[in-house]
Amino acid sequence: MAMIKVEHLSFSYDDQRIVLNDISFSIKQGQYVALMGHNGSGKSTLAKLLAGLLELKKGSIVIDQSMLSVKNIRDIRKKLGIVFQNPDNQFIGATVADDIAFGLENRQIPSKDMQGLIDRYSTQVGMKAFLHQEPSSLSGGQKQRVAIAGVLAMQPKILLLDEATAMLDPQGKKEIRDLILDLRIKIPELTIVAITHDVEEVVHADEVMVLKDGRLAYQGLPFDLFQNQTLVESLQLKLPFAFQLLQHFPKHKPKALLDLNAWAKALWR
Amino acid sequence: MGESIMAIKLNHLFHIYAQKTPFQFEALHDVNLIIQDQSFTAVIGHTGSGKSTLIQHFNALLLPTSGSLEVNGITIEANRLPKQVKKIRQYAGVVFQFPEAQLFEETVEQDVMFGPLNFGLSKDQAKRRARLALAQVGLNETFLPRSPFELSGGERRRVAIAGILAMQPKVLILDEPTAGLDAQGATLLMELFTNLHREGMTIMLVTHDMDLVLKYATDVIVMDQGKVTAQSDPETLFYGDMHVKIEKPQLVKLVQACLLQGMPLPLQRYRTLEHFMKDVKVITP
Repeated sequence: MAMIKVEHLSFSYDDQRIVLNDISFSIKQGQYVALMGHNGSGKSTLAKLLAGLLELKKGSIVIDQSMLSVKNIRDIRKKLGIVFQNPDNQFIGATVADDIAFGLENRQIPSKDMQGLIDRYSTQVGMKAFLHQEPSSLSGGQKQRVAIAGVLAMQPKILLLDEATAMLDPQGKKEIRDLILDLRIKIPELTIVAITHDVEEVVHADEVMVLKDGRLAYQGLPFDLFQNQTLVESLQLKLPFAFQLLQHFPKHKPKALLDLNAWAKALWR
Repeated sequence: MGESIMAIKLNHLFHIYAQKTPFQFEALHDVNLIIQDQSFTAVIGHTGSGKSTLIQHFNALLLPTSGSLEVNGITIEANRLPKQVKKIRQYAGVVFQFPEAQLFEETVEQDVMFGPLNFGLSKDQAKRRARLALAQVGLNETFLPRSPFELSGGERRRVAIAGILAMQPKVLILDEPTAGLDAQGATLLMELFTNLHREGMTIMLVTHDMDLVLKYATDVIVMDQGKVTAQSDPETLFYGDMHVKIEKPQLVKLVQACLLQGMPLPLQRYRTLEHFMKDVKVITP
């Protein structure tokens, strides 16, 4: 079943420069899709359209079987949870528990149910032990995990990560990467769309979509994309580390392509 | 020549935000550092470790709560804005995170001219500086009359950096200059900084990208909870046994795994994947 279906979507802010040009794609429920593209390629605009933060001008967006329109925008927004780039701009509560509760209060969840939900979703992102801590005592990665918990507590169908790891240090990036893989097992029905420049994150996705100059230039397996060096170059992407090795040592390719120990063994056997 | 010259020196520097309030927070704790002239120094550490607070001292945007620092021979004492603050800011140019958010003039040219004019240059001189600085960041003269707000994110970032370069600083301090840029934009900027370094400029780079640190830096400062926990060259830091908590670059992990397998690599420490692969091709069957 398609969770997101986009057809012939075009967009321009000022009717002069076309930002998105006739884009069509569909994303199945439970898929983890990475969305890439150079600066100015239209990624953020596409995300804003999906979230109903920009008004649709041409084409259609269907989310969970409902066609996005002015009338149902509020209902559709409930199906979509977004986490943005800057961890400090999204932390509203005085403590981790407060922050997760904020969205629930907005949805008028009865307070007797609240504690259970806070416990459940803070556990899911590995932040249960920090419930009573203030944001200033948390790392960037921890703040983003709290933001994800807050969004998941609203039980969306789609988790949209808009460069959620861009401002994190390597450890924070790894925490979020691991969390995504973990969520896929714990909430298999959740559809995840991650906008990112980090190719090391993309290799773990089921599918990758690449925008170039407002057009959808690639949709397919990360492996097929990164194996095609000409394509990677034309899309102005960087090759992930393991694929740089693969490009130079195709004969030595280990079974576990992303495992550096496996590469060491394969290169010297 | 004898010993090398230092650009910036910190002596027992402390910085406390909102002192004597309930929000009091010690961001820097007893920092002692020497940054060598013409070095390419990387500053690394977790979010909130004090990196950004540290660099804001280098051009007196923040003043030490106690301790002092010396910038190009001028001493900055605790809580006292030095008389020669303009000289310091001309000497050390700071490019903040997401600097494109600070563009405000109507045209690219006016924006880049702002700094030089502010430092007392004539309009003609400032115009020449602006053209030169924009050329350095790879933007030609067609950009001069354009509005900064109609440029792409990567172009805006380059205009903001040109605004600092137009002041012709001797030390260029960059806070995560490649964050949020695509691969091509990031590579372009790193090439620019390497060229400036080669031409004799001292570069300080705050970054989370360990691959960049290993490839470009001559010197690395590691920060943790407001303290400097290590200062070293990148090879020793990443390959040595320094007991510093840092995420190692993938190249380092791979080289160490290969050595553990008994691969007879001619070097124990590599700084670029290209160099490593070249050597592997010679020895691998």
